[in-house]
Amino acid sequence: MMRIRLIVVMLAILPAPAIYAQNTQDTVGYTLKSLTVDTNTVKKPSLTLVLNTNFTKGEITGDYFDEGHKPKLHVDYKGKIPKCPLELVVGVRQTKLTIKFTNLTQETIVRMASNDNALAIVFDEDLLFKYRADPKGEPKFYTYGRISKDTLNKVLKDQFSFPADAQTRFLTSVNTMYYYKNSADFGLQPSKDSSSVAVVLHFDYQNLYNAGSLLNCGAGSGSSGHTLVYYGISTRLSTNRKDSLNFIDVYPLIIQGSNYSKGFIKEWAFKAGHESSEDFSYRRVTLDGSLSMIIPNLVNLTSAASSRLRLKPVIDLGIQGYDDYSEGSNSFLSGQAYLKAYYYIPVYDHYAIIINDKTYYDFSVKTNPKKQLASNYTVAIGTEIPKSGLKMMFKYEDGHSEFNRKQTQAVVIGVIMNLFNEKAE
Amino acid sequence: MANLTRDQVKTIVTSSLSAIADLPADVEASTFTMLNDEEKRVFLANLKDNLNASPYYRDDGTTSNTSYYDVDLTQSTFSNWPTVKDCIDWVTANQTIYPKNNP
Repeated sequence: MMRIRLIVVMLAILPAPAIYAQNTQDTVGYTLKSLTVDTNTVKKPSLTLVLNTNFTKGEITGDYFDEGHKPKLHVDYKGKIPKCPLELVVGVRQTKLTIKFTNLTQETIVRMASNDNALAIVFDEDLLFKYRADPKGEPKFYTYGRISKDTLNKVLKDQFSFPADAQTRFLTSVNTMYYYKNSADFGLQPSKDSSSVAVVLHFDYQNLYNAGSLLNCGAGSGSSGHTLVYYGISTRLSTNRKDSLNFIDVYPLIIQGSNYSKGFIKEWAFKAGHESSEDFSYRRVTLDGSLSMIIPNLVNLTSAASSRLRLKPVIDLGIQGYDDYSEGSNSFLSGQAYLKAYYYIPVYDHYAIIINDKTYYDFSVKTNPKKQLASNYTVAIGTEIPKSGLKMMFKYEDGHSEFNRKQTQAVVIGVIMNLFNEKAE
Repeated sequence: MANLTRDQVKTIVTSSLSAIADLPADVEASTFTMLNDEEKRVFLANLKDNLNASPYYRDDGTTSNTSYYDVDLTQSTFSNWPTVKDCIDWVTANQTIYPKNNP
């Protein structure tokens, strides 16, 4: 009888540590090795503070926070609460814990960078999490870990920094998301009788006025319905200044919105600017509205074994009003409707054809007395130069000047480059 | 479960790429070199959207909508991705799970 009682008591005691572990989440204490900061500039800009634990093998589950066991922490603003307080959320990444900061503004970014503790992250309670050493193990193999709030708060106080250079890189990176169709190509254009050669530069650049505006309270970027203000320049310059294909288009105001969701990608833009020939003899002030979209592919020139992506064509449909005040003529008001197309067609394994076209109908009887459609197009055949980001090109241009309808063909041999390609941080 | 598997991430990456390009049979060997700034931006925005929109897979295999997957992306992230395969591997390794409601 005594033996039976003893067995019953032992059975009651033996599972106790496991039950205790599962219920109190108090099994293993961990420490924090270091902190790192990751940046995100897609959609809503954010910073992620990565808490590198000394737990290096296995997987922390998101289920524990999903079940409502959310860590308790706050931002201590040292009595100076900003107009736009940060939003924090704690997450898990494999063996690491993360704190994501959103609602970033210039003010909170600067305060993160300062060394006078103008902003501190404070845990109110120990950080509990659930993990398993074998990521492929059964859910029942999960156990619990704990990092004390004293450890967390000390490491955060001693190591959390977002210095000025990191700040600058972040703001630059936010800005870089909004470079738009920026490219340059340059080359040599022989004259028809080959007696002379002109140097030709084609240059497109568009960017935001103020990258800091992307860090407004609650601002998301690149999301549906988001509208941004840019400036831009598009030009073709040549040492042969009389070449009728040359132009200088400057747009001090470009208001652009986008909607990338739900499959069909659309952008719209409103532009106010000045367009002229290179020698400014033809010139006009313009107001322009357009809708941009990606449409299905039209051709396939790759081989069956090719591993190249076949980019879809991008088209802009637009309408423009202008006040023409060209040299030697009375100014007049008119407009044009246009369709622009950009199509990068990969050819077999290494080559590409790049088509840029603008087909337009000018409503002015003076500029377009025969009431005809006209187009300007370029067809570049290129190949990539390994490790350089450059593409060698052989470009054929054919088009009517939008100012005087003069038609010109040209052949340019040179290189194409995308501007501002970033290196990894 | 909890973390998305590589196959699940591959589905998200390729569906995000489909918005701007038709894909070859061996998409993992493809590179991003021909993408211009706008195409990169569209791809990254789609990738983020699709990852955020994925249901959260709990450890027992059931799904929940109280957590979401996220990943930190910038234009320079492309430098970590010589090929689409590298992109899939990188997103798989760097996916982060957040509860939807802040503390």
